[in-house]
Amino acid sequence: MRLARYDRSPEGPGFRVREVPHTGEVVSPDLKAAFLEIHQRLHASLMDRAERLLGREDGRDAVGETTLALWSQWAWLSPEKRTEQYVFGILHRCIRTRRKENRQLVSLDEVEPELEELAQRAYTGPGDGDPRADLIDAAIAAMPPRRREVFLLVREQGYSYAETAEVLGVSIGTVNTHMRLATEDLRAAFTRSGLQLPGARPPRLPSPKGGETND
Amino acid sequence: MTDRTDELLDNVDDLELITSYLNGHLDPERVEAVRRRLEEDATFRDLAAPLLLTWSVPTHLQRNPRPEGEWERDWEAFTQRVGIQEEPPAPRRRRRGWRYWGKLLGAGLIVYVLIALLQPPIVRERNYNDVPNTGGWFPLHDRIYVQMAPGAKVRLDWEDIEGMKHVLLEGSARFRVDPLHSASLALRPFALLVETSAGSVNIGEGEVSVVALGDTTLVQAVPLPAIRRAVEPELRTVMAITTIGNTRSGVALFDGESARMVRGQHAQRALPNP
Repeated sequence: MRLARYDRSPEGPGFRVREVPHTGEVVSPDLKAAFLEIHQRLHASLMDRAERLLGREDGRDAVGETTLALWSQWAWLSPEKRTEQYVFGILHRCIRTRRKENRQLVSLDEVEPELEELAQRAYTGPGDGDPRADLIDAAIAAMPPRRREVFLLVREQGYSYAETAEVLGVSIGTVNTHMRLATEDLRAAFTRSGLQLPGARPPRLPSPKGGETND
Repeated sequence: MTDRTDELLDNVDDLELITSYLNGHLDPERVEAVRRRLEEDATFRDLAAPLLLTWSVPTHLQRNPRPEGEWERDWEAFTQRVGIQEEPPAPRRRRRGWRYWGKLLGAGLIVYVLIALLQPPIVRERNYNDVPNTGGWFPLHDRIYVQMAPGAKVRLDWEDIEGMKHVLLEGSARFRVDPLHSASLALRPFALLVETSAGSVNIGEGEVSVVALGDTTLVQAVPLPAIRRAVEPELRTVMAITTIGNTRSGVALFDGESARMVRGQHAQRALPNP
């Protein structure tokens, strides 16, 4: 087994997973069992996340590359580093690399308004599922990639801001900013669709006796 | 930057508080505080509203579970690509008790005895050179000589036996082994082994006459020089040995003494000639 080679690119370290040789490794049962456990536990989340960020085919490939990259380092990882965050960090780098390699992709930041409009148009009314869920999915799909990545980690994986920052290799302030903007995107989508936000109370009306009431 | 954004920036910490609350990262006390604020603080409630709605619906993965068998297929593909081979589990070592080792030792002893009893004696293939009968003293070694009678046959072994020169004798011959000056009196090893059809004669030093006729062999130690006898009056340097079954019968000869060896019988000292 050989270590993955680190890519000293200007954007920071990443794994060139396609260059990692994988042939006939003999591993201890404990090592394989630990890898199998984390792979089985995170596989669905990784697939879901990758497909939402890259699309079905590229997402599947990215998860495959993540698995290989993780395996190439597995024997050398200390137990405390074998965490979900570490795996999602590898996936994040794979997704970023794949985005760069895919020349057909246009920077989503440039077409954000158009995408948002498309996403809203795609939500044409109640479908088979929960209309709120469809609206939320559309709003998330319309977010710029980095904002979407941050929001999905906080929402879908339930990560704290610190954990999200660790996975993506950014500061907590950056996570804060993306979450604030993502919240605004959601608010705008809900408002446009006329969906009643929870906890929104009717305007306070003056009482006949000059007092205020919420009813 | 709009007024709305300014307001949001002021509430950045509140936003993190809300997501922590929704993700269940807060302790009960802080959870209660957030709930109370949501009830009482309209601004805080307005800030949290989109998130509260988003978190109120199941996650995307919960609503869209992965296809059944997807993980199994992907794992299979991964293991095939990587070629993972598990180490065979280490065989469990049984602790063996003293009974086991006792039985093993007993079995080993039985096998050893059987082999010793049943195995035919190892016969070493030996090579000999015929010693020419010159009529005079012929050197077999640097201090060992032989003088053969007419018709006698002496064959010299290529290899020594237990440090002794080894010859086969048919007929009559006289052997002479010069003293080993460097040897102490206590260490006086035999230097020559003369083998006949009746037995063998070991010679340490001095002259010995050996007559091998059929199954009988006569051995006579030629008297040592007077000076030698004076120094070591009890010196016995010749041993006549016969083999009877698995035992050996030997007679040590003083100078001038004789012995008779017959195959399969004890070697006997012969009376000196009057």
